Amino acid sequence: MGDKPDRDLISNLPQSIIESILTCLPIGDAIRTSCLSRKWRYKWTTLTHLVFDEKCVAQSGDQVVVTKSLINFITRALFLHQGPIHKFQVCTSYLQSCPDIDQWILFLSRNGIKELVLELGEEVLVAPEAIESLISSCPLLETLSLAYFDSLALNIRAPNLKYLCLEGEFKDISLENTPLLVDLSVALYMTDENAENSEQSSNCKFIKFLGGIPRLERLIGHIYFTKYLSIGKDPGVLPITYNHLKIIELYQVSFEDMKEILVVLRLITNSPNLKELQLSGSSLTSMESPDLDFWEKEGPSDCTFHKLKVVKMTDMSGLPHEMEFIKFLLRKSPVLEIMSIMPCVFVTMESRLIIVTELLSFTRASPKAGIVFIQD
Amino acid sequence: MSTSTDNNASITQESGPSAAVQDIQKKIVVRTADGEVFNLKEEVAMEIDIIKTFFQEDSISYETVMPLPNVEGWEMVKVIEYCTKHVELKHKVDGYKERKAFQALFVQNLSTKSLLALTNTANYLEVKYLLDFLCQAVSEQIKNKDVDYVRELFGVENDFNDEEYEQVKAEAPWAHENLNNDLH
Repeated sequence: MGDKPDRDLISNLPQSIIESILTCLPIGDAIRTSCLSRKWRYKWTTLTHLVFDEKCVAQSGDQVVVTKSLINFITRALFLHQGPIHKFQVCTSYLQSCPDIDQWILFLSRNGIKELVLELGEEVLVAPEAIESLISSCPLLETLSLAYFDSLALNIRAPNLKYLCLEGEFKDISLENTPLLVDLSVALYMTDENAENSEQSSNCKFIKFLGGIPRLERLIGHIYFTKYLSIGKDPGVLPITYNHLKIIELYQVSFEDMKEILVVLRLITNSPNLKELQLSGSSLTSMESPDLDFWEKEGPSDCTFHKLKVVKMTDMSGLPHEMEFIKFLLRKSPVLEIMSIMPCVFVTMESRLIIVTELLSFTRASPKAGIVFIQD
Repeated sequence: MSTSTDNNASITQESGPSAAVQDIQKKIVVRTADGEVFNLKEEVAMEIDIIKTFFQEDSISYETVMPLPNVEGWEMVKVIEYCTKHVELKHKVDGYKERKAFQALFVQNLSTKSLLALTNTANYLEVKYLLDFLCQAVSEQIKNKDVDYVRELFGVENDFNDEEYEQVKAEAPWAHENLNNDLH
């Protein structure tokens, strides 16, 4: 490194540039600039994006020490901060059973929070009422990401919420007031309660979760999402149409579970502008699959996917309902361009051949439709 | 030291509606603080918001030479370089690696002084993606470094007295831990 410059190169730059530079730094580095000179003392305190993880504090073998240091760090940083905070992110597995989180969120709710990301370890003990009331007291909240909340029953009221990302074992989720939601990404693990109650529950989880988000543009559901949605009464004709929904990705859909495939059908037939559909199957032992004309029967009679261009099916086992679904899509999608199919690794060469032969026999409504069978 | 980017610059003037001909691109002319004149391809010039806004005024024709009194010639060269690459990569599907390689080279021989001057200029010219990139580059230079190092690098005078300094440090002592001093 060369000699010290003869004049100050940075301190007199516009505050907006300084903040951009500080925002690129780990938060500890940004805070440390307060020691550079008198001018710098409070430059970091008006940053609107605060991102924390365990790298902020000294590493130690002792988890309790790290947890305490991290809580201290975040609390003190919030104390020193001035002005609005638009983005607050904490990603760490060290904050288990941490009552301070409530305090932080309360503070943030009073300071204009728009984007909240909490990705914490398992068994975080935050009372759902606390989370709910804190979320609903952040009226400007646009982006919310919560990961690894176990056995949580969550009711979200956030009138400005646009982007929601949830991962964990949720007992029950209800989007009570999120009319502006545009992007939803969910990874749901099954709670024991849900697994047991799937036959008995009378309320409809599908409507509770997806019934109030007409502006949805993108929906991604991982793991047990469709299973979760299938719990409760079949909603029948949906009271909601997803006019803006263009992309649907659903993973681990069990094509042997009639209730789950009904969920898929309801979703896609209520999304008139759907462009891209991606499904991955969940292969179990093959069972009897009765009622193969399910797809024709349950869908609306004039059902056509006018905008559907791309379909990707992965982890396919060649189950009868999987094949029927593909056949159904091919017949009902007049502008389809790509139907790509990837078999599950366990599928034998023989079975693959059968699948391919069957695929070739399906009629295609779209003259442009190309079927791609992907081998790895 | 002539740094005009295109010796065959010609300024075509649209008169009435006409179909755009792809290979005859309009040129926009700017003059920097040191008197250098640059001919920019229209699509590159439009990446620079301050230029774009200037020429969107009805009263301004493309023949006008736009003055940029806050910009040095060498800075304009760099900005044009970056924006041209950006436009090129816009049409590429998978330009990630190429962009990264280009960015690394772009800042490679820039002194800290030049880097900061260029950052200020990108801000003035209103080229957001260039500004974001340069701020990131500046931050890379001071990541994990202690206070003395950063002062040295940027020429910041320590105007704290000892008492004040200890006070400020005591507000956030935890921010001074966890430094990787091997980087000195």
